[in-house]
Amino acid sequence: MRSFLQAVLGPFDALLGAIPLEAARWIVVGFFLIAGAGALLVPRAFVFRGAPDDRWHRDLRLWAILVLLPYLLIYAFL
Amino acid sequence: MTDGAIGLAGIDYAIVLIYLAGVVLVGTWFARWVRSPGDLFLAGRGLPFWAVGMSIVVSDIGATDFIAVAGGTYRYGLAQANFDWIGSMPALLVAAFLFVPLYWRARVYTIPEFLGRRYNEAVRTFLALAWGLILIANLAIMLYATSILLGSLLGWDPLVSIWVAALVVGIYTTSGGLAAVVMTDVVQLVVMFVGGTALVIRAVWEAGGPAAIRERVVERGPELADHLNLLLPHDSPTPFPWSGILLGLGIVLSTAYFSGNQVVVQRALGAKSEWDAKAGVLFAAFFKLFIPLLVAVPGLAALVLLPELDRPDAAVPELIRLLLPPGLRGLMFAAFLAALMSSVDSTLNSASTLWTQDVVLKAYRGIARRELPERRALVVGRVLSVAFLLAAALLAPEIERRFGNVYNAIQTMFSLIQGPTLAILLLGVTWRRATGWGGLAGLASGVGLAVVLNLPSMAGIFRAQEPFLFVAWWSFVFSLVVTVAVSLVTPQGGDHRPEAAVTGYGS
Repeated sequence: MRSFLQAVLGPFDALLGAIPLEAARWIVVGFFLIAGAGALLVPRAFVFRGAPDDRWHRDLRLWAILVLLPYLLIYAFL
Repeated sequence: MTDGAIGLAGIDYAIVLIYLAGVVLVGTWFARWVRSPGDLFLAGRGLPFWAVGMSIVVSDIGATDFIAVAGGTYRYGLAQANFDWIGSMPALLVAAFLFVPLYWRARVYTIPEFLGRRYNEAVRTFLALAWGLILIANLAIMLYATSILLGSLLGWDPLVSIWVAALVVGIYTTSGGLAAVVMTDVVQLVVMFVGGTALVIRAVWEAGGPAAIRERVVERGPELADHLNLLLPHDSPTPFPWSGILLGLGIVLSTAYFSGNQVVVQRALGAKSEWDAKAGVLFAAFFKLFIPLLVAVPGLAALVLLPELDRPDAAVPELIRLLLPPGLRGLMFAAFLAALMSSVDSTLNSASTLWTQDVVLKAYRGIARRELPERRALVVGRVLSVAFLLAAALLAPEIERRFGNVYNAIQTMFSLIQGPTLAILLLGVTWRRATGWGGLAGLASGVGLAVVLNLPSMAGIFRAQEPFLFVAWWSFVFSLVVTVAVSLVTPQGGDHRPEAAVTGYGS
């Protein structure tokens, strides 16, 4: 079982080991960007469903981007 | 008083007593509105977004986080902060825009109930029993960890600490239910932030400011070379290589935690509207941004102020003793209590919800062929809460004695089930073809692989010291593959009800 799992997981482990740390940083930043893009793609009707009104400050896509931004900056520059 | 105890003055005890009395008063005040299980477990679906968000954050942060995360930062550096940054934000977005709206619309009490509707009753029972047992065990561990914490900080007897904590939390959780838990959580978040900020400001000031801390850490050379890096190489000897942080934490564990853990999701289920449920989860993401500042920065400051510590976990107690005057010590201690009580009350309420809804009421329905009246169901919920608290308080002193390092065992138990749970949740809400047999096979095989990967004979198969991040990732992937494969060869019929859950943004 151990050798089977090593044979299956080994190539993936080697692939990850070959990625330089600076590239890893941008992969992580890309992960945040994909999450943000996903939030922006959510339809307006879905976002406002259950809201008392549809004024701009209740747009949860805007909330998502505003909260995401500091996280993105932290991983891009810290 | 034991060695290392920080000691409290009269004014500190006064602050702590005022805090405890305030929390019990606020909590028990909500008992007057509890008339049904819906009131006890979901706060009558009347929670505003800000209360949902603050409660999610404070339920996630335990008293031991203040000690262990600062200790981890002292030992491994800033990489420890990943658990609150990459381990929160993307997962909270997924929870807010994918899972939580579906749960809220389904008007369920628990995640197993939701998955039971989507797949079948076997999946519901499997998950309810597994999560129910894990939550009760976790409750006992929290009380035990608390007794150790209070013993080391104040020199209190462990048994006294356990029973005092159980009594205070038990009074308002069993009487006021989720509304009491959430509203006391709001108070506790404020106390936690004020107390924690006092320590951070004082510690950073004494260390000479952020620039001086950076300079002194760099001066220590290769020993602390990675301490200011958030991302560590894949072959890092720490438990936090970037690959595990991204795949195991960022994609699997955090998503499973914020979308599939009853303790977290239950607050959103109690929101007064679908919008409040979604907004509450995003509001939590805002607060999570600041958590590493409270719990990790003291560890960095301690590298400068206390460079020769034998035990990294002693960093925060030593900083408190060294830097905080009477009054502020009481505030910081109240912050510890706030972190502790908010985790214990949330876990207790959720364990009681799971067992009441998915085990007792379901069994009654099966045997008596009718529903239990609401007032009796309410009594069942309260009796179970008291029983779990008593069981946890009685188990707590025995746990370490009988089983050794149980805290790690509980973390491992969580990692066994979170990946497979996420896999069947994800397929359940995004793929209509997923069948009941597929879900059950995916869940069982994912847990099975996670168990195998944790066997002693598998040691060294991953490069990381404690590979729970990679175990979570691979059990998730395996569970996904098995669920898809079995779903494709099993018929859509019988219990198969994709319409109960599959997402539709257009609907």
